[in-house]
Amino acid sequence: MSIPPTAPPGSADPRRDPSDPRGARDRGLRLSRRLTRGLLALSTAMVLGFSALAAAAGSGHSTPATAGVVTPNSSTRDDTESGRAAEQTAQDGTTESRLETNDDSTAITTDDSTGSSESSSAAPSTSTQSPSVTSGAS
Amino acid sequence: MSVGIVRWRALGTTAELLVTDPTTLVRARAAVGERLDEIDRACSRFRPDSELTRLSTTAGAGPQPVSPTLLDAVRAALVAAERTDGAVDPTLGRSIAAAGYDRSFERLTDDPRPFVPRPGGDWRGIRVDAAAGTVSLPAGTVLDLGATAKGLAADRAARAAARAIGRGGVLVSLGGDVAVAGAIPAAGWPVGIAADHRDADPPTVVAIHGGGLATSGLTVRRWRRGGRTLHHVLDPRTGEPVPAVWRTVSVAARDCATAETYATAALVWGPGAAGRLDAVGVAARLVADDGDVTVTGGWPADAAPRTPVGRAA
Repeated sequence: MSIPPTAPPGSADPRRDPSDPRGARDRGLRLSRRLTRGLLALSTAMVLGFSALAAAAGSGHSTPATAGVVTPNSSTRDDTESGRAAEQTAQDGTTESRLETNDDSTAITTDDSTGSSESSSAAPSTSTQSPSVTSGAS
Repeated sequence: MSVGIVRWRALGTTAELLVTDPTTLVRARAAVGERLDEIDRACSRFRPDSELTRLSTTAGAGPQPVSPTLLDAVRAALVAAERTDGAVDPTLGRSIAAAGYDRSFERLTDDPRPFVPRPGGDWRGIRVDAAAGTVSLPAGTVLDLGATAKGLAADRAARAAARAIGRGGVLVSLGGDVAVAGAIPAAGWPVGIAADHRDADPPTVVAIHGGGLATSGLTVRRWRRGGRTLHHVLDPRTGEPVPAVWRTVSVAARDCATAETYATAALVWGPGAAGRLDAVGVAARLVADDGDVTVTGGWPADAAPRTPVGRAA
């Protein structure tokens, strides 16, 4: 194991010699690195802050409408869900992607133009949408 | 808006998960699966290794330590019993097993032996000590949380999924018992209403904007015992299957456990159910055995209702 050399007690530290041009260059580099680190930390803090705000807003009620169909093969895969994707257009014009899985489950993505709101009421309303789930005896 | 959907088998029925952001489907699926596994391990009546099975074997032996999941499930069942004056009774396990429903429904076979019913009512003797984490059952009690655990599981799973994905909305359906959490689509979550949750072309569609929706019925889980056709909704006063006044009852409420509670209670209440649901203030749709439809509590009328809206049976 090697031990890095150290300056003897009382000797001058060449890194602190203002007449040393290499020391000045080093100080400049260190200052530059500190500034870079500071800017990076500030940027990270801003990103985290915005992420937290966005998460808080999302966990509330509103969510931006998302267009397009996600490809199940790349975005809906976990240890129990794998298989092949198929895509078809339903009678009501919505696009549906289906993921046939290997554990007796089926993943589907549908695409329509429905937005989101903060409504929360126990009484249901009439609907003309095509339901993806049915409530019935089981 | 894109909607991601995944379906799989869980708790002896079909589990369905919908998310408003398909990119969150995997995380939501994992969260729901975790909650359903917890409920199954704690509350299954058909697993010899479940906590519920073990707890029932200790009936009469004083307070028993249980997991928080089972403690919550027992408490939810007792709340349901209180709210319905005992119409939804978690202590009918012995009677439903005597009727032959002592294994998962797919494994039931016709049994020529006679059915000897046993009334419920023992729920008043159950003691839950939340601080100590214990449950005490009266001697001879066999728990059956089937009327409430599925709704509770849907609620917990939907909330867990919403927390896991952090944004967007979630719908969880367990055999047609539906809970939603997180963001609600502007037009609500469309849910078909049918006698059987497997109906892919339901005759009625409603949109829910929060809470939960559940349907109970007498037409799906039926089997033969002692020369009789039985079903799984028992009258706690007698232990016998309730008479077929209502074919199905659908209820929307602030959560799925509440909806499931009143949907089952209505089948037990029989002819007075619509009035009692109206008094409670939950939105409900009741389909009589002859097909007549009655709605209460703000449930929208069918496109062509066969009876006036709000008619109490």
